[in-house]
Amino acid sequence: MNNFAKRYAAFAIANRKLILALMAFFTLFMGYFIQDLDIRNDPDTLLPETNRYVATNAYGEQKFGFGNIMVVGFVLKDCVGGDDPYSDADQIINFDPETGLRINESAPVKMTQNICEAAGGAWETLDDVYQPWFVNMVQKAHNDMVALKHSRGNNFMDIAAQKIKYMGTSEDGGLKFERLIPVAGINTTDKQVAGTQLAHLKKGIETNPVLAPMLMLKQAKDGRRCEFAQEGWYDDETCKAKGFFIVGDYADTVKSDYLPWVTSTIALVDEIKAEHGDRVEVRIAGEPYFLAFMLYDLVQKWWLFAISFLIVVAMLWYLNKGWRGSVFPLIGVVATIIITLGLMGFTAYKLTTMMVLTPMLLLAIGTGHAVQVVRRYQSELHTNGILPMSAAERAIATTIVPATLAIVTDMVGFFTLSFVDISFYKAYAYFGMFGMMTILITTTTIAPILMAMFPGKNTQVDASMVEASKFEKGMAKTLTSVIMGKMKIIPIGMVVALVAWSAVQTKVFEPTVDSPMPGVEVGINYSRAAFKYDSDANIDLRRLGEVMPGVISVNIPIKGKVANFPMLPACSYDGSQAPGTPCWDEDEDAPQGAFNNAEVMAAIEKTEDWMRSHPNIGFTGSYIQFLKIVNMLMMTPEGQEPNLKYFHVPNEAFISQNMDVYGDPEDPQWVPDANEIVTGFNGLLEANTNAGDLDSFVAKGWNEGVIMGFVNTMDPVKTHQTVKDIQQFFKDNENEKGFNLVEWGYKSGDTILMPESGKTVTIEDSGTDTVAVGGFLGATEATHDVAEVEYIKSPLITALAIFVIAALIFGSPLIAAILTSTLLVTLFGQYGLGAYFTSVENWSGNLHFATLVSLSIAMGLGVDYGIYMISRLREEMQLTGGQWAKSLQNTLETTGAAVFASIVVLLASFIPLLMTQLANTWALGVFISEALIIDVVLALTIIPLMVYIFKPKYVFGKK
Amino acid sequence: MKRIALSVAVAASLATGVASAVVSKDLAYPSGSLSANDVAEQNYFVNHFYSFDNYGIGKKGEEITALILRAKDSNPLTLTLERMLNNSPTADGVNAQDLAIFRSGKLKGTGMLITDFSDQAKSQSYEIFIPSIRKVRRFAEPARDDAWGGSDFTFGDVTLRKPKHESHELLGKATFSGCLGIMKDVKRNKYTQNAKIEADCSTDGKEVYKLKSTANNENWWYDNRVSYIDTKTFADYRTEYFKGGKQVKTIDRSWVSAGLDDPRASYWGYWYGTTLATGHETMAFIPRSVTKVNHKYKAKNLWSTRTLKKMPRNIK
Repeated sequence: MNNFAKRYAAFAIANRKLILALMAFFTLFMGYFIQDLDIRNDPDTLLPETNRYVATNAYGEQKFGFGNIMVVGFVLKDCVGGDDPYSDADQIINFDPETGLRINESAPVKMTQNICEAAGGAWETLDDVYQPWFVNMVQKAHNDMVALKHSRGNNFMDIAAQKIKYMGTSEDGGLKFERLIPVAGINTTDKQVAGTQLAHLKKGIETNPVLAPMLMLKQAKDGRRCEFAQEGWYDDETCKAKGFFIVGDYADTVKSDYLPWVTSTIALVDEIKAEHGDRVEVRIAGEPYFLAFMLYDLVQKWWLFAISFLIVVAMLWYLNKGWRGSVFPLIGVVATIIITLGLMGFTAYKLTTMMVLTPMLLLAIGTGHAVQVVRRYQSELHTNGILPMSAAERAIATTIVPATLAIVTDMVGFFTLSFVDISFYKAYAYFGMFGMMTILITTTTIAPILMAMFPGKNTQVDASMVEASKFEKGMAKTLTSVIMGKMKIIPIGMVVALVAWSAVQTKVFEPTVDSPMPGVEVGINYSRAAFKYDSDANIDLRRLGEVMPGVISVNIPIKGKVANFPMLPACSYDGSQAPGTPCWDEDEDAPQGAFNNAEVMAAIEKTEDWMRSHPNIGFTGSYIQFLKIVNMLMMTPEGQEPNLKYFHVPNEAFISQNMDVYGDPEDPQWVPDANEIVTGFNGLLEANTNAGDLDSFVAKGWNEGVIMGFVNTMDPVKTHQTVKDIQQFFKDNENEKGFNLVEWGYKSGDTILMPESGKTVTIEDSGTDTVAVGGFLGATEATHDVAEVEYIKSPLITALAIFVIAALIFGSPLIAAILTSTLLVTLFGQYGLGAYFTSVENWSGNLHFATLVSLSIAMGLGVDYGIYMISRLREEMQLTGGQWAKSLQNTLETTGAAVFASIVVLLASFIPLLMTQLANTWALGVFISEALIIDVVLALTIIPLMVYIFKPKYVFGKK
Repeated sequence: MKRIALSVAVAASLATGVASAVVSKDLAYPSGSLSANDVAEQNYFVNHFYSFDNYGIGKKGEEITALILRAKDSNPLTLTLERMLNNSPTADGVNAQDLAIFRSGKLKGTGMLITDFSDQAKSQSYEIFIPSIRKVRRFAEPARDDAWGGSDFTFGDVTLRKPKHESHELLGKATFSGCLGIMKDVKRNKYTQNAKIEADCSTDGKEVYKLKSTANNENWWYDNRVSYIDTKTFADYRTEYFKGGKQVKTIDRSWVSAGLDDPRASYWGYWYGTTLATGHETMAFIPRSVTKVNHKYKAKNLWSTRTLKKMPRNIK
């Protein structure tokens, strides 16, 4: 007990009422700000904005929108009725038939006749979607989705959207653009009228080369998706129309309104399911829904938090032998949680649902410290027979130093995260450190004060209150004999086995150029990282992945190079422009901008064609799809149905190959100018679309645009490879005609002015000049960039920091080395676990950028047990006059038992993290739990053993 | 009870009803008390320039009709055009012909000939000449709710909506208050640099009918619209569109009297429309000097495909 500790304890006791009043006031004050918590799960704000992928993605979204796409799919069921057969199918696809693992995603089992009939359903495959009730259901869903708050109705794409048109010829041979379905829906009273309307829809959607692949499902008999215009596409026997999709777009404002919005969305979908669920699969996905549903799921599972809390209450009641020992410490812990949450709200920091870890950690760690201090209070009270307030003072004085040391190391674990430029790492760092710091007051100081202020009766001496339980005594005795006897081989063997297993899993002895531990995949599968495999959100997403061409977005911004497209400023006619100033007159001068250049358009066409042929890319779209449609409509000879032969960019080469339609019979020598055609068609599109219709693909100046694509896999290995392939494609074509006129994506060193935020971002040097892509694929790759650096660097910095601090605290580099070495064993065990999850393709559990935080946090928390053990060993060695065996047993009986209790409390605290549908909290819970369990085992066995072997002076004294 | 229901039905029929399918070019100037349908038909008559044999907006020096489209906080896109409407076509079965030529920008030289047939069941025909491919392409009549030229006006607003498409209810007479709306701070181009783009305040104090027109189509883009129609000229100064009880769009029209005997003989000075949800604005500004009515054109058969092909070649 040093002087500072004594003085602090005396001060706390003397001013206890003031401290309690201040804590109550501050808790209430900060509690007020909890309502301002901004949990938005926005992946765009998580990563460093200077990362080339993040910058490309941000630019693409801010410039062209479509950052909040929601997809709802309606697929006619083949299996009608029965005892929830689709639920069975969903469960069946959880298991790989060969390995028995439920986590392999490579070959999901689809609904089959056997599954259907086994569930008592009727196997009906003859119907298609061209039925009034089905089409009207989709139309109503469209209207309801547009009516949802934050919708951008103009951007919706589906059969009921105004801008989605039937393109064909009228009876007199003119071109016809009509809505696919009447505004009032398909006629439900007159079959003949309905038949005509449905035939119109069928022809309109199935012959549209741009929209059919995106908005409808045609399915072969084996359940596979038919691709547009493949053999049998137009034959209903070969490819039957089975589904329609609504692609909705929502404004960014949805991010601050997730919970009400997603509640309305779920109600909307539930209503459709209630009415049509027996015949229709309704699947929902998309970024805003997906991200908002995470918050929704947490809120829905409030009862898990209640159960967790009650378990902690019960544990404390048992350990501290009475309700006082349970309630008073928890008052402090709850105050810490309220204050920390209030600070999150007060600072308006943009948080993610992963931040739920912070209050649960505060509950667990705060309770752990409370156990130590309350037990000490009871020991002082009931062993020495002193007054409660004196016991409280002594408890504070004796525990404040180790508690402070432990909390400082906890804070170090959080603090090192603040060096990583990822917003939620920083959030963990700032709020974690703050929360931990408050524990010193709210728990380690307040708990014994409250115990002493309300001590109850007969508090003077009660041996039963301090006597170790049979379990505690047994555990201490057994562990002491293990450590001191031949059985020490057991803990040593466990450590060796853990290290060996981790070495095998991580493949640390088979390093590659890309990775020192190739068994550890650090890429992210966003859907699996967010939700568990069998969560509702993932089941829907997987199913949509089967029936749609792809669900993970990728965007590639395109901008004309200044040298080729100088983009002169518009001429000013208000007298402000100096004579002779170069300017561009939109009325008189030739149109400027890369998107008025036919060869640039042809380069985009080539890129899209290549992307669509890539096995991992299902669908792409860009402005050239509009252009190709106009070309097809204009160049198909009059009176004929639009001919896909002319669904092409009219560049010089294409025109020369098709002079039969491009030529002028009255002027055989005349050859049209490709750029003039493109410009003219651009003008037609500009004047014949609704305001904003083109803005999602081409910027108003006609010098910038974007290719939007959808990747059909979320496998982190495949997504990483897809990015590499795209980069190689642009490398291979960088000098080709058209390609060399524009910039594709953004590269290291580029400076970007963000269109919405107005920020200027200079992209950090990533050591390569390859093109970056945006969209979710870009965000995924950005996490790969960050994770492959941080997964080793970040925890090692934490370990180094803990070593330094431990060395300073204990004045013993040897003690610091003992503690740090055990932390490294734990860290390697975590790598092993991450590698194991990688090997079984459990992408909820690999060490991606969201779970990496657990390495540093667990390190900071895990060292606590060693600190408490070593502090107590020193104390006991002094009390017993240097009798090691006695000191060890006493330590294990007291502090060891408390450490053991702490881990039980921690696991109880993690129940909500592990039991919701969220995978990210599950993974954090699993990694931290694994680490802390290893740390407890090491603290109770290996650390005493190492202390005994190396005999540090801090414990053994100078002798 | 039965009598009450009957009275309500009779009263309602006085105020609302189904408009006739066709509005005749010979529609007489009304007198006495008017029904809602009468007002709607008279307004249709005015908006289709049935008082004139022909109506043209051409080019005089630098003055020309400009269509200015402006998204919120963006630079405007300006299209300039000429237009000639023929309400006295000679061809059988043709009700009207409308020839438009774009004079600037990407559509420079693009021509459009719209033919409206006497048979109201027959759709309008659209022929478009595209100079870059030297071809005329025919199109079927667009949907009434499609945007006209990418603007805030729909084809229904400009030409296609007929009184029969809505149920009309007269909300009574009122005094129009204030000036019409106008696009402010227009960035001028070569053609609009000297244009007097000022709000029309001549409407202030005019007596107007308030006509509520409810869309007959289910799920239409508006539920109803309220038009403020001059009680003498039947020109509509303002139309407010409502969906779900909220106003979603406003279109103001400035009218200029042609000075003919028929009070309905007036033509547009400008249109100004704004979509309230997006802030997108459209202004069609027609300089008075370029407007001609009942003009005798030299060219024979001006409203023809031949003109469509030939005329744009003269535009440089």
